[in-house]
Amino acid sequence: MKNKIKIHRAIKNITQEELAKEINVSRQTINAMEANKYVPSTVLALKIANCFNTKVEDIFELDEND
Amino acid sequence: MINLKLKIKFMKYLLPSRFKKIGLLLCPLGFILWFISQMGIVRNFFDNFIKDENTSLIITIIITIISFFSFLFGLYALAFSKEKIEDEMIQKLRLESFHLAGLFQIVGIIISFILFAIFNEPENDSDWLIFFIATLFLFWIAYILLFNIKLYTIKN
Repeated sequence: MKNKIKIHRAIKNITQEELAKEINVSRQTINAMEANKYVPSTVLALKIANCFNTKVEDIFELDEND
Repeated sequence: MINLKLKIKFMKYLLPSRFKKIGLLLCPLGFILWFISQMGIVRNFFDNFIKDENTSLIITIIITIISFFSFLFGLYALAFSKEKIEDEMIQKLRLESFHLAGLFQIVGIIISFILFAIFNEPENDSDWLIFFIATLFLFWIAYILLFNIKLYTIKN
């Protein structure tokens, strides 16, 4: 699964640390998601989408391996 | 909601994150002291200072028991202490490490039994007991190592 967290974070101009605090996870989790090493749960995906005031599908999308 | 309840229930079994440091200290220290006492070094040491053999033996037994339980508690603290932020990725890493550690244990048992069948060992009951205790520890040590390796890889 691909994601655009990094892009949305850049648009909102917040750091990984700030995003992590806002959705109650560690900075490493944000880093792992941005590096496509970790696929978040539905709850976390919704929290991220809420944080960026957008829909989940605007941030996450399936790739050819899914 | 169910997921949240499960998470809260699971978190109850985890120790605060400061226990990780205690575990890091107690686990190797306890093991080294227990190993030394098993080798008879502790007994010899106390025999030089205390003339009464019984007192020396009792002290050695107490040290052996304390060191073994320190090792056990250290292992428990290392395996079950929370990370600073215990989020869903950490829980996933714990689950994956548990899975792999279980696999290592099964493979270890199978290989050991094959070797026992070939070499006709162990011959007595105490060796079997040591084998089963070692198998139990293999799981927990593999779990702690795998979890920390995965955590280190993700952090870097």
